[in-house]
Amino acid sequence: MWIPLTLREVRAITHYLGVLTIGLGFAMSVPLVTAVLFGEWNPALDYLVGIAVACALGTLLMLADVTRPAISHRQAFLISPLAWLIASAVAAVPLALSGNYAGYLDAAFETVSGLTTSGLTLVQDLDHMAHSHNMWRHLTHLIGGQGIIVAAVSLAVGLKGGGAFSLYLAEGRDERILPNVVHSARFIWVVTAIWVLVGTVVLGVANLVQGMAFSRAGLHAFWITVAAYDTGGFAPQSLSTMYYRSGVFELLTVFLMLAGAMNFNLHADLWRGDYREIFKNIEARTLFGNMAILAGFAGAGLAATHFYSANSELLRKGLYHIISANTGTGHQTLYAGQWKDLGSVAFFAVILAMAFGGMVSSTAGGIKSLRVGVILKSILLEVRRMLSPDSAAVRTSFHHLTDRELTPQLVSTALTVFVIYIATYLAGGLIGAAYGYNLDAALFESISATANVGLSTGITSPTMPTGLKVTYMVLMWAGRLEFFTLMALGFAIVISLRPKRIVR
Amino acid sequence: MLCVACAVALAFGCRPAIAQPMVVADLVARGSDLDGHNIRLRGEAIGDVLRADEETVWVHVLSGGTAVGVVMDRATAETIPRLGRYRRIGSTLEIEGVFNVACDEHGGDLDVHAVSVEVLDEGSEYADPPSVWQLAISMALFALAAVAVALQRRMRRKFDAG
Repeated sequence: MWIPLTLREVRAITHYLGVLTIGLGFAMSVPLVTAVLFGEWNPALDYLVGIAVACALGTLLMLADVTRPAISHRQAFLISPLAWLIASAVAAVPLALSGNYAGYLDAAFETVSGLTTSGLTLVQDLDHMAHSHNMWRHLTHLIGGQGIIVAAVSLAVGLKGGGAFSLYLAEGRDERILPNVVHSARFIWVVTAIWVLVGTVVLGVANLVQGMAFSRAGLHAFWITVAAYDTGGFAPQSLSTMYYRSGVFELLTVFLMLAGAMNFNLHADLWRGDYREIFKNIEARTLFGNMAILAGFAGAGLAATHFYSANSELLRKGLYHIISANTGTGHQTLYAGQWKDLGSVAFFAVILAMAFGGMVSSTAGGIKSLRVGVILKSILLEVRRMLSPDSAAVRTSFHHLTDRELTPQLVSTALTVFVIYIATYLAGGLIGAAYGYNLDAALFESISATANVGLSTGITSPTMPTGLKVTYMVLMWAGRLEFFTLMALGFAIVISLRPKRIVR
Repeated sequence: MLCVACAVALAFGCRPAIAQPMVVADLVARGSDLDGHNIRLRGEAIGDVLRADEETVWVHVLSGGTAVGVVMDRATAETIPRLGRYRRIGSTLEIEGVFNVACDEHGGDLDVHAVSVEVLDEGSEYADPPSVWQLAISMALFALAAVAVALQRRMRRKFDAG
């Protein structure tokens, strides 16, 4: 039975959307301070307007219910997608005023891409962008990567009732790390802070060695760290990570990308000193096995084209882009137009790497290696059943944090998500092709958007059709929330739009 | 006729591969066709001077909305007055050099190894003055937020009082 939303529920949802909007306004104080520190007075006003919009809109939304209502499970699943939508809309205000975007839609595309940690960009003249605007672009990765809701839950901003865990789940996270969900959310931020600090220092030193001035070395290091660790993919220069012209720099970003694609539960195990988990865990084994196989294909494909003459170049370019794609980061050391030079084998290896994605409960997108591992296990189980005597009860188990039996329910859930992802990848590709782009390039771009990767063949640009911009925005949003939350929102709106059914 | 054409070409020092300065976007688009050729490139120097090795550095050059890394002598790079970034238009350079679509010396990157670099324009600084209307709008919105907060407190007091 479909139960329409009550007016009281709608008011509670609106109230908490207001709370989250104000929280986003507070986050804009970071680029505001950056603008003041670097004397960027016009961008400073862009952020003042952004904060004012967030405060005004947030306080008005909060007026919908002043009783500090509790959140139910189903309300949580409606707050989450709407929070991402409102956050993207409000976060786009200062960028739209920056002059680096063709209009508000392009700025909104950028914030959807930033918050979902996709990394596809419509920015213009990035190489002349103000530090404060770059700070905000990369902060959207940090806020979105850890989760807008996780940020709110970790601060426990006015959340009442048992809805905190539901909100946490609704944001595309499958499992809590610690028994208490608030502690889980805070743990995510602590782990992130450590990685970001270490990454910034190490990349900062690498930049200084390369000859960058101190302030620029530090800022660039922080931005690239955030973009790599949050598997985002934005960069402060139009050449992405190729700008830094350093193999060491690329290697360091590889470590950050891999750390970002790791399940926060694995981070917790490493934190506790349990290093064996990473070798036993089905997710980790699937992810690294997948990367090794696809890197092999990419390397062989590249070698066949003779595009790169040295093995070290094959390894550097092949491995970097497979890891960037598989972790869902999207940093690239190639021009968008160069993908066609790499041959179809390497090209499709990158497509598959993007489609599979990183681990669950990480900052990465895509189908996720746990589901791929479960599906592979179930295929092996079926083969074993076929080869076993009729009387044999064939079962199998896998290790993911604990030893678990592979049940039909688990396989069914994994296959459902797998099928939805594949259908969305194909649908996005067909829409791109319908706009006149090559099907392979359109498929690449669709998977990149849906799996929140950010690698691009060049389709994503300020000149692409408006309909395609909106399509990719929806794909990034749906992919980040893993579809079900979005479907819940869609059905709730449809069944509640019949006024006589709203229970007062 | 052929002899005359050759004589004219030689007299004017005709070198077809580097006849006209290109923009970076065209250079990247033509990629493999120009690999290993001498090219002439025009664009704005941007970003930072980054170390390549003991004697050479990277300078990035932007034109047609695309940037490319150019390897040049450290001493040459020091003659570039401005590197483009926020509120600064970098010096316009005309570079003659060898184009590599996948440079063996630099990890397979697409790059240009400069033979000569000429500064055509020094570049300039520009102002980005704050706009008063933005300040006015933000003040108005903050006032609206303050009214909403006051209203919220009043409604909550009323609710708490039953």
